[in-house]
Amino acid sequence: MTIGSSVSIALRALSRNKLQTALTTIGMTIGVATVLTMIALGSGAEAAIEQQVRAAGMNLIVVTAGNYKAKTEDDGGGVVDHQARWDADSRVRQGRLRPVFSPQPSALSPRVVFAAFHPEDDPMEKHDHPTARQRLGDTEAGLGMAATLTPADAEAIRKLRGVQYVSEGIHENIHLTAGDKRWFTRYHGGDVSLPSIRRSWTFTSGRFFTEREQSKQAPVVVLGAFVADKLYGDVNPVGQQIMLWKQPFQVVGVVGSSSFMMTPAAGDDQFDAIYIPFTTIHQILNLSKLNDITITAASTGEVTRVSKDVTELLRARHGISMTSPDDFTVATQARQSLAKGGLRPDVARAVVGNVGGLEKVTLEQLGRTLDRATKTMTALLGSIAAVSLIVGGIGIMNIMLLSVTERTREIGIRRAVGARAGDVLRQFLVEAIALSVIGGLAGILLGAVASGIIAQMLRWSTSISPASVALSFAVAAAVGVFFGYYPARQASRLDPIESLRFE
Amino acid sequence: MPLLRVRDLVKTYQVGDVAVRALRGVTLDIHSGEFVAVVGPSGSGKSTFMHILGCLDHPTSGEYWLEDRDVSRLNDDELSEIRNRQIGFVFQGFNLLSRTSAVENVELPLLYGKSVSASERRKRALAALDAVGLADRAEHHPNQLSGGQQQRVAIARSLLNNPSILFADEPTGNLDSRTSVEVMDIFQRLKEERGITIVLITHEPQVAEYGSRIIAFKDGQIVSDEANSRQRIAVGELALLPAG
Ligand SMILES: Nc1ncnc2c1ncn2[C@@H]1O[C@H](COP(=O)(O)OP(=O)(O)OP(=O)(O)O)[C@@H](O)[C@H]1O
Ligand SMILES: [Mg+2]
Repeated sequence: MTIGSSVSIALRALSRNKLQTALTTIGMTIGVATVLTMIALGSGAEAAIEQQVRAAGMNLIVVTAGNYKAKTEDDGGGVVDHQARWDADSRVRQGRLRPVFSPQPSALSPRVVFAAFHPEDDPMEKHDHPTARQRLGDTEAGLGMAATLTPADAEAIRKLRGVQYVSEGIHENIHLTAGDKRWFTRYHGGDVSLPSIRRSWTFTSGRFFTEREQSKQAPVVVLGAFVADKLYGDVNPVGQQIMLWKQPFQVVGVVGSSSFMMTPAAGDDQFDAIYIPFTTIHQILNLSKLNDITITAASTGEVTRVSKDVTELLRARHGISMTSPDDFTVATQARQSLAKGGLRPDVARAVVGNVGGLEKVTLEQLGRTLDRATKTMTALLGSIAAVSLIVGGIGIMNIMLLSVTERTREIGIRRAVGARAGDVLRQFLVEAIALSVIGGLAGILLGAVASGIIAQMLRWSTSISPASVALSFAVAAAVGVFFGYYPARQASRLDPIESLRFE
Repeated sequence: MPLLRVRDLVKTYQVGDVAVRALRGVTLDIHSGEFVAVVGPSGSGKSTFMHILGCLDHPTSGEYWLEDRDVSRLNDDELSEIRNRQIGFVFQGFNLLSRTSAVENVELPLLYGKSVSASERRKRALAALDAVGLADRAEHHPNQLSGGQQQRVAIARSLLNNPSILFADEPTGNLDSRTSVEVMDIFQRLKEERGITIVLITHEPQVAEYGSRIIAFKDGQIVSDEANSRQRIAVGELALLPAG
């Protein structure tokens, strides 16, 4: 007996009882729809994370003025953050934290590790009120005072091989006034190339400042979307004037987030902020130094080399001897990008929580972390899908057992005209598979619709790949084989003459 | 050498405490090309005997040789193959698939065994239906056919695979006299033209007389077994009967 005729017999048998077939396959349909939806959501999340990480700028290198991190021991992880120590010390003094003593005795003194962060170390730190913020470059954090970076340094870095964009950076908190409204926020002095570095930016109106405005030290400002909303609400701020340092600045644009994972909110560093050409700030405040220089490497693979070149260049430019430490800090990759790149907080938290010594994290490690998170999610979703598939499979098994009893006489007739036990087995097995595959196909449709709706409602990107459709289909067929085998074997084992006599 | 060789065949059914002895020692040879009519009262074991000869059922004891093969030594697949290729059945209760059309019922034996294309199957099934006068009922389902028509569908099915032996259990039970004669004509021609061996079970003595040999069963035993000297010839009778 050919497969073709087994299939057509099976389909005809099923089409005779359409309602029963439909009811039986509902379980399968739901099961497969779950599988597909889960995969779609899972891989959608994965894709979103990947896109986020990429958008966050894994090729980012940030050079900060001053060096408040020096290694006490080269133990591959024992980085002591002097600032954190200072912070923690003060908190210990205030009785808020207790020092944790490391078990290994050190030659000098027991190494004290504080379970506390420099505010910058926790990219997810919530700032309840803008005034409560402490950021890199804040004078109270003692960093702005280490004035070692100059625009000339930035210019020199621009000429390095493998460097894509460079932006000078000056950051400070500021009170601004627009008409009768005041807002306490943060300004970023930057270079025209900043929008190219912050890839998750989109201009909701207007534009960024131009090369010309930058070189002319023009009093122009770009508002973060949150600031714009606070000051102007629904009115388009472009063309309006705001007062900074008692001087009028013209608003030329509003910058918002292009990532659905990041919505502008109070206290965030990018959109509750304003952007001004760093040259303008230098001129108005009569400054000549920078807080930091942000660099992107042309390719992520070159980040390590470029950051090494930057370090060497700056050491040479600052005339630092072989034995002296850097007077600047080069931070690369994950932390900076996660903290500043607009990564969704929970995603960033997952990454930060899973990777120790984030500043040393390589792309590969980050990838592995994401992999692990995805695997956990897949395992969870997989078990939900497994339960629905088992329920669906049992439904099929039940109907097939019933069908074997109902059609005992048919089995006898087929055996009498020469069907072998194997032919009968195959007929019922194919029928069970057909049932589950019909359910599976319906499930694929339902799953596609469901994940579409979920994507719409939760604004969560889902992706249905041909591979996931193929997998769902294969799973459906496998369930059919697994749960159809027992009834089919029962059918094939019936005695021919007794089946013929069966009423 | 006989086509079928049966020695001391016994079939006992155990129903609760009671042992029903359907066959109690049947010994018999049937040669190729014979037209054997089996008669006997109801419950005398005729159907049981036919099922065993047709490799559908196993005897409780005794020997059964089909050609030169000891049937008791054959496995299930080999028995299936024999039923498919060598044996045709017309059952007492037709045994048609109720939810498939006449032509699909007739096709059934061709689904198993050697693979035959769907169009070839259909062609041969329609030809067989035509031979039993049911060409215009091909698409009817068994419940849309009369008893006699169903019986003829069953006959068409039994012949489809060109069996060498045909077992027919009461094939004329539901037929009017003219159609009965027609069926007997089909059987006699199969025997003459294709050399098919026929075992016909019947209640009616006048139907038995179409056979070349008549065997009488009683209480699971053969009580008489003799050549039929007054064999009726269906063709001749058909010519005399008024056209249906
Ligand atoms: N499966 C069975 N279980 C128990 N007893 C059975 C079974 N099949 C047949 N018998 C018994 O075996 C005996 C012979 O039955 P069988 O069907 O061979 O008779 P038959 O000669 O074909 O009768 P009929 O002419 O009425 O068809 C009967 O007494 C019947 O009750
Ligand atoms: Mg009988």
